[in-house]
Amino acid sequence: MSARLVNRGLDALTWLVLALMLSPILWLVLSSLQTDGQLSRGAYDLLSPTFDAFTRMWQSVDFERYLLNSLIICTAAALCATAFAACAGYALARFQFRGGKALSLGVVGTQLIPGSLFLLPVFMGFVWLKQNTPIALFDTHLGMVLVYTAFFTPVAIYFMRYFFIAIPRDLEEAAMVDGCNRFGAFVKIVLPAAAPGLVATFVYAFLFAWDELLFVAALTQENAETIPIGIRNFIGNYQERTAQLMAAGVVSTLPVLIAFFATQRWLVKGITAGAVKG
Amino acid sequence: MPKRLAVAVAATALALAACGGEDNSSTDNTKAAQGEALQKGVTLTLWTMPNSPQPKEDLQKMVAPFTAKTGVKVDVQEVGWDVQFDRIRNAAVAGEGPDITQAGTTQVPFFAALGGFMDLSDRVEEIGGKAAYAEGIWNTTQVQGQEGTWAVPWFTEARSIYYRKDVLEKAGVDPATAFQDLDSFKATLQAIKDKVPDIEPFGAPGKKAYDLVHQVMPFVWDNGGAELSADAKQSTINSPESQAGVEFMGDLITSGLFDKSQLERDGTQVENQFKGGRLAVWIGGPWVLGSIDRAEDDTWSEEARANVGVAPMPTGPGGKAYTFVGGSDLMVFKNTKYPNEAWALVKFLSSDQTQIDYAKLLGMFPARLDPQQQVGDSSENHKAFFQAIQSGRTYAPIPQWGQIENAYKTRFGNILDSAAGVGTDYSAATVKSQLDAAAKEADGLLAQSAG
Repeated sequence: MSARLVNRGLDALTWLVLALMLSPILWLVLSSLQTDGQLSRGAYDLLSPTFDAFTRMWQSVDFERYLLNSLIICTAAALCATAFAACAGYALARFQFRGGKALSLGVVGTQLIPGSLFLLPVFMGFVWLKQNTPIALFDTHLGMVLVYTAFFTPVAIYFMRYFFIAIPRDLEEAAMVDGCNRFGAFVKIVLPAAAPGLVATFVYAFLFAWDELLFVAALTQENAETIPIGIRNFIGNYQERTAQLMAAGVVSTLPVLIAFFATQRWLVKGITAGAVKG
Repeated sequence: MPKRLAVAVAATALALAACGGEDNSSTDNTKAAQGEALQKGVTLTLWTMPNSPQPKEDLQKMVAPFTAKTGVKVDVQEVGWDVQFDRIRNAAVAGEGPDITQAGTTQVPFFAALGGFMDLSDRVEEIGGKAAYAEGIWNTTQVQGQEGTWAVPWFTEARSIYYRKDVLEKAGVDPATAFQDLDSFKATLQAIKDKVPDIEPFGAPGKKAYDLVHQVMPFVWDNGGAELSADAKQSTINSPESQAGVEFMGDLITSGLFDKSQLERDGTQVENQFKGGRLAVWIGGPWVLGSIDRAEDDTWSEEARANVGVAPMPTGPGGKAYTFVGGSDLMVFKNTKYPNEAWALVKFLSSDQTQIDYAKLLGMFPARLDPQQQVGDSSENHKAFFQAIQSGRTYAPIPQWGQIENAYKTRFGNILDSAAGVGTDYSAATVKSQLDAAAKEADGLLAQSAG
């Protein structure tokens, strides 16, 4: 009896925590359906929502451009980071080679340095390249993809290495006995088996890049600006378009939500697998 | 995060400023501009901040006649206020940026001191020079103790008192004398509090507002105080006169005339409280005047929209009425490949008609005297702002001002908070100790650059 009561209580607590965590999102969505006037007076009218802000946000700020830039840069960076990490992680998991340990340590070691310390050298490097060579990295998609790839690859290597260690060697060896070479076995047998890990890595890298502001603020001027920059333009010195800001918040949360739910199955597996091994 | 950003970029700027000295010889702006033909087909990049409802398109339209006439194209790029300071600084020190940028009037000296901008002294005579602008506004293009004109004023704002005509009537106060001096200002608020209980008499933003210092300083000036000594070598924010000014505002809170809840809001949010009919009196800029007739601005309640009155700021014990005058200037980057074309665009944006049209779109005032006068003549409410601009005051044009303003802002915020019952108990000693701390920080900042 009392055990049931405790269970009920825990259930209720779970719902409470969930409600608390979802309430800011609910508030975001509700506010996006009001007018600026209602927002500024706090006189929410939940019964007569308006989608006005969702149509006007595209006109007052060139949000399409920011959204597109974010999608391109984050997808490309997450893909590159995952691909590099898969190769490096496999090598570290399977092969003994000179310097392997040092490399492993070095990869983890890069995470000890605060990211913002890289800002100055990267900024100066990009500007120097632009002014002295034809290599265009400053304010380009390519530049931002490179930066985000470089940032997330070390963590991703660490992730992937554990996934590969968890996959039995017998699987690849069987494939190699059947005539596959090492690379064939990697692509045909190991990668599919590590799919949850790949998806998890990709999604984490994507989310990281989606929210990043510090670097994109310094390394872009116009062409490669992402949502974290663009969303600030709804706030001017002389006016605040709060409803549109909220609408933009909803719109920029959607791709992330979709990505998350679409991959949720693998993501949960990925997290638990990592948890057990790590 | 913003703090980390600020620290990192400050480091960027320092390092770049240190190593950027030698290779800045590229563009020589002393070349006489007159008579030189403009290159057709080139594109100028212009950075602008979110000023108007559709910032980019509005300005792009505004410069269309310039392109039609000269064949010089203009690429308008929008830079948010949150990032504009870092972006402009980075562009100035790295030499990688647009041709022209908008800059807040109080930022100009800082940017100019970085060395990435063109000295426009030889060219400004073409648009009338100093004589074409009100004194306070022209000062924003200078750096104290240094030769050179680093910017051209673009548009202007000054603060005046907004009040509700209907509320004043209910309170039985004559609008003509209601805000004449600091005493009648206070008496008016008291009358509103006593006779019109369903509206808050007055409100102003607290430490969240970027412009908190602009809100407080007019009262300091009224009382004979100042932010810095005349030679800008020392802070005077803790002088007895300055303290009296700050205390005037604190006392409004303790006597219940100032709605404390407004201190949690930023400038625009308090503005919306006035527009929504929650405040009877409020101090604000001309852009609010422009939004009265805009039906799609739904932040207005019908009562408030129909009853807006504007009065000049009250006079202080010294007999003068001060107000803050600000706005934005245009600065030309030294590294521009097209100095003549860039100047031609600045000139175009300084022509009377463009000034009036753009200022109207923004709900601001033109920066130049002649068009200013024309806008001032357009209505009784506009006239109050025109007068405010003529007697407007701004801060000493020194590179460190931005940092000093931040130090003051924190302390002013603390003082107003304590008057509202948050933190230390409010007393003359509290105010004094906060202002002493502000002065100390400011003196430290002033000494750094001197050494």
